[in-house]
Amino acid sequence: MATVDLTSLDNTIEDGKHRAPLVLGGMNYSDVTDAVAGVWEKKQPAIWWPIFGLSVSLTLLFGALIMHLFFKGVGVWGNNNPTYWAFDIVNFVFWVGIGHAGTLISAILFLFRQHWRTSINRAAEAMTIFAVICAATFPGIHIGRIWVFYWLFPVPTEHLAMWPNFRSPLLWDVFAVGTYATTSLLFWYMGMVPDLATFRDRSKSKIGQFVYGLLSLGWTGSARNWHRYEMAYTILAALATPLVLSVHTVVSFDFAVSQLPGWHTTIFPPYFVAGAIFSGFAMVVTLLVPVRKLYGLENLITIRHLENMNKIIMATGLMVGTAYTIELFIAAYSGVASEQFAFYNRAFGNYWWAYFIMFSCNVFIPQLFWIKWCRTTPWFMVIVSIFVNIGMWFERFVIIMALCRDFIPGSWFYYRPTWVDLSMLLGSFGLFFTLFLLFCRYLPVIAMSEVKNVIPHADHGHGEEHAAHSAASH
Amino acid sequence: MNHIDSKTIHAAAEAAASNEYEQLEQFQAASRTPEAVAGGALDAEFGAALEGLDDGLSRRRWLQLMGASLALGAASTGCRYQEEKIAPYAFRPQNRIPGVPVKYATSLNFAGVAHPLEAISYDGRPIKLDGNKLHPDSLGASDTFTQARILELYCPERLRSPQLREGDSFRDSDWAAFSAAASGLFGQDLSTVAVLAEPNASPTLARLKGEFEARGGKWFTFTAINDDNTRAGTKLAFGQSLRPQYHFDKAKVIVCLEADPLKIDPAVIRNNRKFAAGRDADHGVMSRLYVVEAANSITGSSADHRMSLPSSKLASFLGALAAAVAGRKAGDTINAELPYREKLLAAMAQDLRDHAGAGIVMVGDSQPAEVHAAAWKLNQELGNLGATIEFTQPLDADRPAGIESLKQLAVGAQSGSIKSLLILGGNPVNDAPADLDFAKTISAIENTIHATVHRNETSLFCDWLYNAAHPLESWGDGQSVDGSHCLSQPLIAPLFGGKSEIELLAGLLGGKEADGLSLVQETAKAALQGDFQTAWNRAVHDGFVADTAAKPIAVSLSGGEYPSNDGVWNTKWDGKSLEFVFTPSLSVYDGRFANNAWLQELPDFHTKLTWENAALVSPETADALGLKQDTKVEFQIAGKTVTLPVHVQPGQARGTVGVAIGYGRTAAGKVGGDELAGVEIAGTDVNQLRTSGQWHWVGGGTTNGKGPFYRLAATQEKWTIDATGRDEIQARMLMTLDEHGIRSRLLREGSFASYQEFLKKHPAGDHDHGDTGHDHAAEGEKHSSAAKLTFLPVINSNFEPVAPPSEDAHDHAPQWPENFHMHHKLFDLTPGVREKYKQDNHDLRNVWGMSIDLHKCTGCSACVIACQAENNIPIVGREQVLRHRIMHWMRIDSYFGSNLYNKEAAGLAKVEGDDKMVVHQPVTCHHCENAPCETVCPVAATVHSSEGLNDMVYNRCIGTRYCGNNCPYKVRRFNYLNYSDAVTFLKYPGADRLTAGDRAIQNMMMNPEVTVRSRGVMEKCTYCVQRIQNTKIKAKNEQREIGANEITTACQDVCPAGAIKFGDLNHPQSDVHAAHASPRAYVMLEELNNYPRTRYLARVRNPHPALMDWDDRFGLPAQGEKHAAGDKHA
Repeated sequence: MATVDLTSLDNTIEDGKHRAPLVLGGMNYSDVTDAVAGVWEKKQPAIWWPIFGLSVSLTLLFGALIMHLFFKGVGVWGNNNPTYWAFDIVNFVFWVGIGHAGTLISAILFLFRQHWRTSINRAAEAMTIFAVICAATFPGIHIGRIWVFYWLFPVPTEHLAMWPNFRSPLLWDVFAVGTYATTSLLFWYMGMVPDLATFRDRSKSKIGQFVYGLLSLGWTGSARNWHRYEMAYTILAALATPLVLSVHTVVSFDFAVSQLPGWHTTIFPPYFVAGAIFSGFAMVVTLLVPVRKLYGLENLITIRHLENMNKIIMATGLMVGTAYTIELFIAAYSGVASEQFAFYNRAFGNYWWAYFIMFSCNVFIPQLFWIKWCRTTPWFMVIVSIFVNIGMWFERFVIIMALCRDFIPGSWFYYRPTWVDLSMLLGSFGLFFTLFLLFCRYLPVIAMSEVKNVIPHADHGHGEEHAAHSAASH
Repeated sequence: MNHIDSKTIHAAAEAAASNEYEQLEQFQAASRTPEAVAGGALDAEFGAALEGLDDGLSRRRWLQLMGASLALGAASTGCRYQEEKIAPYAFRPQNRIPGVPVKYATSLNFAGVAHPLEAISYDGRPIKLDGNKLHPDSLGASDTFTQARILELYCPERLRSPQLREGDSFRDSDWAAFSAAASGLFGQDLSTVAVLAEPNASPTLARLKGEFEARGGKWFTFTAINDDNTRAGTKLAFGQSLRPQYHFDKAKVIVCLEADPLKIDPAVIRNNRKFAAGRDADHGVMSRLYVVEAANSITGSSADHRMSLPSSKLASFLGALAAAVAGRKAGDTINAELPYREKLLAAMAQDLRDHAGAGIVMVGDSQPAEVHAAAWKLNQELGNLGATIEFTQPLDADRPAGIESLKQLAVGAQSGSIKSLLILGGNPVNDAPADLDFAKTISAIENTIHATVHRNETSLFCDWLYNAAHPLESWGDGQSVDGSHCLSQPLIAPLFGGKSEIELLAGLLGGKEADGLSLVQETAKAALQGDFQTAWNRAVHDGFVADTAAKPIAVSLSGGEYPSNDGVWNTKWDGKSLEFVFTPSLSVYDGRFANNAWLQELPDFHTKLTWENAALVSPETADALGLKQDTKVEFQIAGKTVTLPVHVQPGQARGTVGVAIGYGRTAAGKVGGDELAGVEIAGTDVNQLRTSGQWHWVGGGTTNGKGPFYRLAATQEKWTIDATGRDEIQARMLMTLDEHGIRSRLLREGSFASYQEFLKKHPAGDHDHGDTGHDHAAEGEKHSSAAKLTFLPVINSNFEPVAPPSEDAHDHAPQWPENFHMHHKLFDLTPGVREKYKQDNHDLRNVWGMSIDLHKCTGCSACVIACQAENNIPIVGREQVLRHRIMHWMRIDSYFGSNLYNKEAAGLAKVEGDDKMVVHQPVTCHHCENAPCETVCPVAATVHSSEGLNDMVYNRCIGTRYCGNNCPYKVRRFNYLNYSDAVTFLKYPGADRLTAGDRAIQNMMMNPEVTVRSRGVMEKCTYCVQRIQNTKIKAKNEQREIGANEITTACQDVCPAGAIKFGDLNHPQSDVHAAHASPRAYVMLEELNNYPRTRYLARVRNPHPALMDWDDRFGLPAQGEKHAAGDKHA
């Protein structure tokens, strides 16, 4: 098999006549399997352990602080009387937002036949699941009487003896996030079944054979298997697609349905969705660049993949930038004094620094991706993506801090987080990375079966020309 | 059968306790039945309370119990509840239904006079104090200090037994030892014995004092906040010590020179009431209040014109005022060219001249006697004496000034002529002027006894401490400020034993134990007319002896001279030297309430600081000296150094530092600070700066202005909030006419002149009965009162529902100040939500609503504490206040604005000192009909009642706090931590170390009608729903309608100005109905379409016409154009 010089091949060059190859290095089916299964089979790179150790420590800190919270009360956070929600909901919205990219990549890009999604969808979906876990933690623990959290669900209990209030956006949240988490999990798991079967077959340990055997649901790779798999996959993709839009729309209702100046705006649903995709893609880039490097997956997750994602980051970044500007315009145009002040105060008031961070990280910094070098240089795009994630966290912070100065100045108050707030934010990252590292360690990080579909076909010979041709034929 | 028998037993026990001996046989017979002996039933019904009874009743045990019951039964007297019984009543004592509160009249001595009160008692526990509705000085109202006395009663840190000094500490002793020791000191000859007491209006104490002095004893009097200078002033002017009685209702012009009659004054309740009566703008009655003072006071914030002036320059100002009055005739005009402050002086003088005989010039107790005498002279010349000011003889007219008294005591102590000293209450070691060093005086005396309820700094220097009974636990009496003879009766047996001051003193004088009741009765004999027992019963019931108010006495001026008109008052500050002005704390008073957590956490009316005092400086002073908000700065003054946190706020006179006394107590207790026990000390002590010569203010202070950061615990953003915030606050407070025309604002205010003009244009008939009068003049159509309340069901006077009037009528009802009104219909997208108030509602009559009159509110915060006492609201502690988690259901927002009526004063030109606007706005749950909190709660824990209450279901709340976010008034309070746990109900440092017994004592003060909320639950004002329900039940049982104003809320009860009205909006005779129909009524944040049930009434200010060159509301020149603007939008 001919090999292509990796260093000289650039699949980011746009050639009108041919589609760029999505798998480089002339990999064939078994190369792909070897590469992906190798992540699991070979010894983990040395760096895995310190990162994992740190993440687990932070997770333990997170757990300890949750216990602290349970025993003392919400008062261990900095929330106060105008600012009834603070880091708890900021973190929730932030993590839910992160959780958007996975399903978008899996479902929407699948339906739109964007084949470049195949190399990244598995990791992105895993990231989604983990982000939703982090997200779901916060509203779960933020309520005052945690021991009756189940009153939020429409379950008949003798304690409540009534339905929840279906008018409340918080209840819609429960449904929206719950549905999203369930569908995403199913989608992720179902897509993984053929690959889990591969792991089962390659596993040398008894435990591995048993566990992967159980998880692969008796997959044999028969045509019937594949036929049903493809059907189910398409159906789930179709189901998941509206959820991508609905989750963050519903999350934005938490704010938009209230009458607080700075929250009560109709632009929130689309703007939240755009922001969520924005932050989700940034997180995917942040994670995949090191992963492809560490595990030697450069041929599968190519620069072109990364570049595509960066383009989406730039596009959605422009969308949120537009939304920020339109918000200001609408406030000014509305003639509603309290709205005008809310936005003026956002930009120039007591939290101007947060607004400044948000605006620069989300709107200005992604503009660097206009420059090709910026969007094709892995280490650089990670930096930009981290900025985007910081910016998106601050976006939620800025929105929620509208509480600090609402209608009546007599109850204004400046919010200050406590050490518990900051540590729990850090702890949630610990949980996220712990789960992601375990995912890399034990599960197929790339959808092998799907990548094989977009591989430059061997039956027409070798070389990128053919590869491009065959990719186009799919 | 068992059940009946056990009841019989206790019936018999009870009967026995009630001295019905013939039933003992019955008891014995019952107790011998096999069922009773088996005891199972008893145990099941009474549990541990029947300890000893359960395994059959032994004769010995029965005798023990009966003996104890009889002894306790016999010991209890009069209206005092009997001791706790181990068995229920068989024959219920009169007026006692378990679970139904009983009200008793009583009184408390405070600030040298008796305050007539009414106590609410639940099953023998007093839980709330209110003013005595029968007494003309109270009429049901009271103040913050009175409200908080309940907490003091149940303070677990009270002394529990006499204490004897042993070395540096004290050990528990007992009454026998104490009484033996004390009696030893009180022989027949008392020439070496002295008593140091606080000024007290008790005639019994005065009688005992006479007896004591007759036997050679020496009596001294001292307290930190007193009326010594007023008395000295009257002595100088009239030759005798007198108590002035001000009739603010009759006055047209009131000039207060550093006087605070609306807060720090013995007559505070009556003053507030009369002041409010004299400013009934709806009926065209409106006095004009000028205040000249250094530090902000409650009175100052209610003023029409306030001039800030250092205390030291006040005498000069009075000289200038006297000269100006002398130089003016009635009807003179005021030169418009004068600079603002001179024009203000001229206006003041002219007003006094124009309203001769209807003016009051009042000087505060911080000013020396000469200034007082000069004011009397001015009042005399204006003919005010006898008209708006009368004088009565106080009970203790002969008492010397406190500082003088202490000096004499020190001389006696040093010379050895005083060998024994009995200190009755008070805390002179902490309060006395620094130069007198009272600790040294005490130490020089051989035997010292401190009879006190709480241990304090003075106690630490005494040999014996006596656990005096709390005034609410003992019989007593006192003259109220009008001189009437008030009685106090015990509401509960002394929790920790002890005797009252009069019992103690009488016992020591008489050589045998004295009984408070007979002491008080003996004194009362002189005042009571007719059959003693009948008259006495009547007096105990009423709380005072009717018609015993002191008669005004005629006075003639014999002294007093005006200070020279030297113009010093109008000189500028040098920009360096600071004058410290010491003010009473509106929270802890002179420090006596430092251990009272309710008062410690009560936000100051003006600075909104809790748990501490601070150096208050004006922004100009801060700029000049580089002082920064929230820094702890050292000040050097008179050779001493004091470190105080800086608080910058307008209103403080330039070059002065206002600082409240009473903080920084080192032996207050677990709340206020205790050096020995390692409890953090609340605030900073400034008594070290106060000497007998410079007791109220001291000049010559310096500072380098720098210090470390120290965050002050305020409940409102400080004035030094960033520029963006401050500009917005200014913009939001009051409306300014802009291109949009109509803007709803938080506060509404206008001048009295413009209000009168409005009333002329909209002849309203009687506004009190809710008639809003004619609509727009062009239509000339008269709307009924109902027209204002279109969204409410409407009934006529026969309680028959009538068709609701059209929405349009509501939209066009005339409102003052004009142009504020929002057009509901335009914005009302959800009319259906409120339909239930119109249809199919069987309780159409009960449409609860509230009105708060900003015109009457002075910001005194009595409502905040009353609400706290009524609704079991916990204290959170300073740390939690810093996190802004205070739990008060009612808060008072204070706003400072530029002068609305005068360009120059508004800061368009530089003026020395300022005449700013201050408005206090009490905010509590508005009970919106379209409540934004209700829709967002995921578990429906906050829901609407059929009567329009926004109910909070605590046990359904899971604490998502979304309701709090969506409440535009931000009146919801979240239990972030376990504030209400019995362990830490009072979240002060050390509260969690209380023993179980101490906690049980604190639990006694809880209102059993109100749920105690746990951690993680949202809470808020309920409109005192427990009172509503109780009245409804009562009315239903009595098969009658609820009276028009029968239900009152706690905040309404306490308000001395009558600013809060509550009731049925649908009742044509209710006060709140009339208030909502007033043209001054407005809805805060009306544009949000929440339809709140609480409305505010716009504030009316009465600036002098010569000082008005700017229109109040429209940002337009005052004359002419105002009318055009008014018409355009009306």
